[in-house]
Amino acid sequence: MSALRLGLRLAFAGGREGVARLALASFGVAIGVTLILMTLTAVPALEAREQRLAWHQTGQDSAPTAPDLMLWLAADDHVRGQDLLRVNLAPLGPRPPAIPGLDRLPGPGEVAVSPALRDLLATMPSEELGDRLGGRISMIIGERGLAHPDELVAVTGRTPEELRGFGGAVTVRGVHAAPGSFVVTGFLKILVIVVAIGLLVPVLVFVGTVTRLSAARREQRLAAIRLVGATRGQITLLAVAETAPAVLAGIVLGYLGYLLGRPVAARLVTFDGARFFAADVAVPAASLVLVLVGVPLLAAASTAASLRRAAVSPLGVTRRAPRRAPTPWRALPVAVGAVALAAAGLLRQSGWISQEGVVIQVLVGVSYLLILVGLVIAGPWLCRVIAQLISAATGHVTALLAARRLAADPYAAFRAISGVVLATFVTTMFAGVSGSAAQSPPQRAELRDGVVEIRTGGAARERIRESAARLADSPDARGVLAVHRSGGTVAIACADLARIVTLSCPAGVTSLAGRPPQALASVTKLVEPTEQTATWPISALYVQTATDEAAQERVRTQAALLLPGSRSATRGDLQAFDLRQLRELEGGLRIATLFVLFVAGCALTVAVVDGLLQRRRPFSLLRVCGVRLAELRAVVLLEAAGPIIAATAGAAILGLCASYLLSRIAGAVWSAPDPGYALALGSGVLAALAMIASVLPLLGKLTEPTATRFE
Amino acid sequence: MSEAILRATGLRKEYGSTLALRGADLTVRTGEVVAIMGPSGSGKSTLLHCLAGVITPDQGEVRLDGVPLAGLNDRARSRLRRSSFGFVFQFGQLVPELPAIENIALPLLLAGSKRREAMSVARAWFPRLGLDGLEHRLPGQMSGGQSQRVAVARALAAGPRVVFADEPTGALDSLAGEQVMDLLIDAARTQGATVVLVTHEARVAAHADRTVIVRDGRVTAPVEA
Ligand SMILES: Nc1ncnc2c1ncn2[C@@H]1O[C@H](COP(=O)(O)OP(=O)(O)OP(=O)(O)O)[C@@H](O)[C@H]1O
Ligand SMILES: [Mg+2]
Repeated sequence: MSALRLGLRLAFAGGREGVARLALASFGVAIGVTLILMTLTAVPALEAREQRLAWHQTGQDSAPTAPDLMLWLAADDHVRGQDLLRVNLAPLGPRPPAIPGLDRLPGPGEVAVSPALRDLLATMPSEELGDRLGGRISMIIGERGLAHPDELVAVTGRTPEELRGFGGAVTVRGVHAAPGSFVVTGFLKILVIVVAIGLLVPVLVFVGTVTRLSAARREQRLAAIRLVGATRGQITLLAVAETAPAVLAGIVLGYLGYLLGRPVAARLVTFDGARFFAADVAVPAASLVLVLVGVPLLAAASTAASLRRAAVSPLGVTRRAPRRAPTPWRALPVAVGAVALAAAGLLRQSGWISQEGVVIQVLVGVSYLLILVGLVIAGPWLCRVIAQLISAATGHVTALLAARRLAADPYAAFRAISGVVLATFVTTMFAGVSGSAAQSPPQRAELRDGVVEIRTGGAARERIRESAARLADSPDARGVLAVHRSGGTVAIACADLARIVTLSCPAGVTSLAGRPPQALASVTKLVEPTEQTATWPISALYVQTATDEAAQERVRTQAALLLPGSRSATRGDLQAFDLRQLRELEGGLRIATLFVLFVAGCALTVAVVDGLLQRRRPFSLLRVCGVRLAELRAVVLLEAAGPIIAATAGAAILGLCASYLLSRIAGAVWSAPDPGYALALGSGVLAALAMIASVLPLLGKLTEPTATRFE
Repeated sequence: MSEAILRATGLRKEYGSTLALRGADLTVRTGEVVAIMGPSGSGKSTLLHCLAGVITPDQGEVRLDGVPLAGLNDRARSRLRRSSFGFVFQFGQLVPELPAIENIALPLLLAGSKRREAMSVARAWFPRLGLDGLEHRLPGQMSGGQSQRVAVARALAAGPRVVFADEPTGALDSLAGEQVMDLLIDAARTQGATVVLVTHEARVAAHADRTVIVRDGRVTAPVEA
C-alpha cells in the first residue's frame, strides 16, 4: 500500500530534526513500556513468593507426596528482629517426602541452612544463634526452597525418638505444595488501589504525550497531502505508519529496559522485609503479550483520534478551525470527585458504612479516579484563566506573548504539564496518608523490653518445668514466669502481668487490646492463679533478662536447645515487624513518588522540546523582527512556569484534602505531611523549571535567523 | 464553443456572521483559462474552494460535467482531487519533509502508481522547470519561485482536467512570477487542462482567456474574452 510506504518515508524524512523527534518518541514509548511492565511484575512476584513459601506450611493435613511418612516439628523463631524458621524432621522410612531446594533430607545431627543464615551464623557467637540449630551444618538450601534471597531457614535432621521426645512433632505424609493466597485488606487495600491508579495514569498520559508529539505540525502536513487527493483512510494509515517506527523501536527498547530492570528491582525493592529473586520479578506471558501488542494499538488509536480534525478539511493547511475555548464546566468532574470523597468521609464518620465494605471501596476508587481524570479535564480551563491573569497583571511584551500563546491553545499548554499536576496530586496524597499511618494510635499492651516470650508449642509438661528451671539458672535470666492457660482463659497474677507487658495492674481487664504478646493474644479472660489453674497446661514462659540484644538472643538460644519446638519473641521482634511494615509502606510510597515525578519530568521535557521544535519558524520570525533572544527565553519560561506553579499549588491543596479524607475513611489520625514532603515538592517544581531552562539553549540554535526561510 | 466543465449556480457561503459568497454564478468551459479578480476579502478564494469541492456551499450547487459535487462522498471527492484536479496556492502546499521530486510524485503515489514510474514521471519535469539538479532539495532549501514551480509541476503531474490556482505568484517578484505563470499556462495548454486562477495582478490575469470580477460575494462583471 502506497500510503503505508509514504508514511514510513515521512517517518525518516525531515533531517536531523526528524531524527531527534523519532528518538524522542521511541525513548518515551520505551520508558512507558518499561514502567508498565515493571508495575505489572508486582503481583506475580508476590505470588511466586507465596508459592515458594508453601512448604513452610507443611502439617498433618498436607497432601501425600511420598510413600513413607516423616516426623515434622517447625518453629517460627526470630533473630535480631528477623524471622527465622527452624524445622526439625525425622524420616520414618527410606522414601520420605522431599523438601524443595534440598537433594536429600539432612540425617540425624545434620543441619541444612539457607545462604543468608549461613552468612549470619558466621557473624554471631554460637551461644546466641548457632546452638539453636542442634547439629552440624552440612548442606545449603537451594533457591527453590527459599521464599526470598534473605530468608533465614534451618532444617535439622533428628532421630524419630529424639524428635518425639521434644513434644509437638506431627506425622506428615507430604510437604505442603499449595500456596497460600495473597490477600490484601483494609487500609492496605485502599492504598493499593490508590497506588496502582496513581502509577499507571501518569505513564499513560506520558505515552499519550509522546505519541502526539508535533501533532500540530503533522496535521498541517497531512492536510497538505489531503489536498493532493489522499482520502481520510489513506491519511490515517499514513499517520499510523509514520509513528510506527518510533513506537516499534520504543517497544523493543522498553522490553530491553524491563529485562535489565528486573534484577535491579529484585535487589532494590523489598516487601515484608525481604528482597526478591530476579526470576520471580517477571510479567506473566499473557500480560507481556497484552502490553507489547496493546501499546502499539493504543498508539495507533491515539494517532488516529488526534487526526480527526485535520482530516476533515484539505484546507487545514491555511485555515484551521480553532478549538473552542475551554469553559468553567471543565472543572465539574474534579468538583464531583472531591464532593464524592467528602461524602465517603462523612458516611464513614457517621458509621453508616464500614471501612471494609464494598461501598466505601467503590466510592473511594470512583471519586479518586474522577479527581485524577477531572484534573486533566480542568487543566486547559485553568491554563486559560492563568493566561488572562498574566495579561491582566502586566503589560510587558514577553508576558503578553506568553499569555497570548497560552490563551491561543490552552490544551497544548496543559498537555505539557499534566504529568506534573498528576504527580503533585498523587505525591501529596501519599505524603498525607503515610504521615497519618505513622501517627496511628500507639499500641497499648506490648511486651516489655528485656522480656523474652517462649511459647511452649506442645512440649510435655515435665520437660517445660525442667526447662524453666534450667533457664532460671542461666546467668542471663533475672526471673522466669510460667503462664497457665486453658482455652481462652489465662491464669496470671496482676503484678506478674504488669512485669511482662506495658500495663499497670489491669483491674477488671479481661482481655488485652493493642498488640499483646502472642501467647496472650485472643485471650477472653484473665484470672488470678489458683491451685486449680496450676494444673492447666503451660502455654508460655516469660524470661526477664537484660535489655541488650545479645542477652536476649542467648536466652532464646538456650530455650530452643531445651525446647526445640518452642517459639520465642521479644519486644524488638514485634516492633521490628510493625516498623518494617511502616518503613516498607513509606519506602514503597517514596519509590512510587520518585517514579511518578520521573515520568512527569520526562513528559515535561519532551513537551517543551517538542514545543520549541514546532514553533521554530514563528520564533525565528520574531527574532528577525528584532525580539531579543533573552526575551524569547523569558517567553518560553513564563509560558511553562505560570501554569506549573499555579497547577502544582492547586493539585497540592486538592491532594492534602484527599489525604485527609482518605485517612479519616481508613480510621487513621491525619497529620500534615513532614517537611521532607514540602522539600521534595518544592525541589520537584524547581527541577521541572530547571529541566525547561536546560533546553533553552536549544532555542538560540533553532531560531538562528539563518536557519529558516520565510517564503 | 466547447462544453462547460464546471458550472456554479447561486453559491452562498457564510462564516459565522461573515457572508463570503452571496449568490455567485460562474461557468468554466473545458480548456479555457479563467482569471478571477476582485478586492481583498471579496470571496475569491471561497469561490475557488467551492468550485473544487474542498468546501461545500450553504446554498447553490457546483456541477462537474453536469454531476453535482454535493452528491459525492468524501472518498469520491478525494479521488477527484487526486486524479482530476490540481492545486497551486500562494505558498505552503508542499510537504516540507519531502524532497522536490517526491513532492511532484505525491499525487501519482497516492493514486497507487508504482514508485519507480511515479519518480520517472516526476523527474521528467525538472528540465522543463529549469530546476535540473534540484531534485533532492527540500522545500525549505529552495527559493520561493523554485518552490512555486515545483508546486505547479505537482498540480499538473497526474494529468488533471482542472488546475485551481490561488494567487500562485502572490509572494514572488515580477520576474519569478512571470516564470511561474508561463510554466503554468504552457503546461496546462499542452495537456489541455482547464485553469481557474485567482489573482489581483492584472499582469497575471493577462495570461487568461477570460477574466471575471468578484465583488461582495457575487461574480459581478463577467467579461467575455
Ligand atoms: N475560515 C474562515 N472563517 C471565517 N471567515 C472566513 C474564513 N474564510 C474566509 N472568511 C471570510 O470570508 C470573506 C471572503 O474570504 P476570501 O478568502 O474568499 O476572500 P478573498 O477574496 O480570497 O480575499 P484575498 O484577496 O485577501 O485573498 C472574508 O471576509 C473572510 O474574512
Ligand atoms: Mg484569497
